[in-house]
Amino acid sequence: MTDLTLISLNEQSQLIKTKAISPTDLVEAYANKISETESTLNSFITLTLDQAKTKSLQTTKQIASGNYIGPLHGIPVALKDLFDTAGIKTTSGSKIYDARIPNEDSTVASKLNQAGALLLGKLNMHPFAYGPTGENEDYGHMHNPWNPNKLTGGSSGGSGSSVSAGQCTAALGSDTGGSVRIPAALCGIVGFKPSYGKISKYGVTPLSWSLDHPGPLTRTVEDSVLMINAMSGHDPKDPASIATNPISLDFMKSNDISNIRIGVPQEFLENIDPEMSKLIQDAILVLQNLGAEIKTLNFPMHKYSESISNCILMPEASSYHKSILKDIPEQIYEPVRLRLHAGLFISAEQYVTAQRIRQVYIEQLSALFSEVDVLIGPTEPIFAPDILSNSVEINGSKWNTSAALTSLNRPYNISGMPAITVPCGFSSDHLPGGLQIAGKLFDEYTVAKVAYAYQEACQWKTLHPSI
Amino acid sequence: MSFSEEFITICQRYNISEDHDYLNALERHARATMESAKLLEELLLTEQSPATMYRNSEKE
Repeated sequence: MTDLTLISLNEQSQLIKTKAISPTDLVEAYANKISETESTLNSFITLTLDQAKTKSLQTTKQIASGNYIGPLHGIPVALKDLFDTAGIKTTSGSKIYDARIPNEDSTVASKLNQAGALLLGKLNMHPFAYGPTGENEDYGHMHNPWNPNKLTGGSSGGSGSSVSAGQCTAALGSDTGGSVRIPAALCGIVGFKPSYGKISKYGVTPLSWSLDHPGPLTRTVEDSVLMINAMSGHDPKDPASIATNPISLDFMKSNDISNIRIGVPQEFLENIDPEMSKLIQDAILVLQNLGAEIKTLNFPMHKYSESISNCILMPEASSYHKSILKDIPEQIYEPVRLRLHAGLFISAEQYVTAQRIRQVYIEQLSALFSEVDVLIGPTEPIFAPDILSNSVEINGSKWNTSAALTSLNRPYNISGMPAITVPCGFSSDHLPGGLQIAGKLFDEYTVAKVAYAYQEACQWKTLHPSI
Repeated sequence: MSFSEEFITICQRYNISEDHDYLNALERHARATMESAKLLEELLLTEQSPATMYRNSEKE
């Protein structure tokens, strides 16, 4: 019998629309899965199953009476705990805000609600989204469904583990230096960071206002597109919000990508675990066999990715959290507190310089798109390390774990370009790897087209952790 | 100003009064952060304005 919790949003949606299953069936299935797996994974900070069950009964009646409103109607979702939800605790992953209950929904929570989605709960995360590993001493560390001794990646760690394990259909995360794509890649699912401004940040706890991007984590490419379409649109409450058209689902009509030119920046293939390197080379062959033209490119300014990102992200984060850093520093998780304090050492001149150099960096990255339609590479140089590991070894060199995890994600936060990760195979230890595909600003369609063609050719989506 | 002097000045400015181990760890973080920022100084400013006219003509 099909496990309803592991089929895609798109498939669930068709079953709901044709009344083959009801939203109540789905919520019950997820409640059972959460009950079986949550003690191992620790994906959630707050569960809202009672509200979801009540709303699912109303939704089931609504659909039975012919009032089906669209692909997210009756679909169970969960939100990273930095998206404000009216009347539901929103902590940003810190006990400092354990009693904080917003009066108003974030724009994305409101849009998902309007689309008929059912909220199963608020997901665990790295405190304040300030770290790529999925550690949290306040609410417990997150655990990878493929191996619970391994980290989920972060900062949207609960979003990664919950979708991967079938605790919800889709989750929402936020991505400042990879926080959607990192946990998606390490947990073997799809994570799609759309262009900067496509999804509103209103009601989202900032980490770095000029680098933050909300984005979905799902089991398939088309599911991510359905989520983005439900959440995008101009929001006057977010000054960075931009009016854009929905992404067409026409890419699902064909896997032919013979008119697509794919660039492989060589800088993205340096310092990669050999097994990951093999997965990426195999993925390139698959894309070539699907008809794409593969071009080798260079992006020399990648060597400044970490510096530009640090000099922008760190002072923006320190500025936002200034009050608690001054008044109650001892209550902030120490590794996060160290980063917040270290951000005070970036001068105004260095911050402005980084923002100016950012423009040149974007020009150089954008110029690559005169030769190709998308850029690809590994999402991560490594597979999921052990929880709380401070360093990892890549080809005999020791790397800081956080630096390694964010190294290939930052270019698309700095540039605001859309980037997706799709599963691309497994290590000999059965840990998933991710292929990253990025496109021109607001060209989510081409990114989704290439990702979908690859997904359908390989079918990694059919493999699930045995938790 | 040496790094150590700058470290003490900034800790005093922001009233960072933590224990010895924490300050040692912060010093390591701050040093790494400032070294990261200094990397950007490699790039040359050949146009003073507007902001987007930063160029690295010698290295690109």
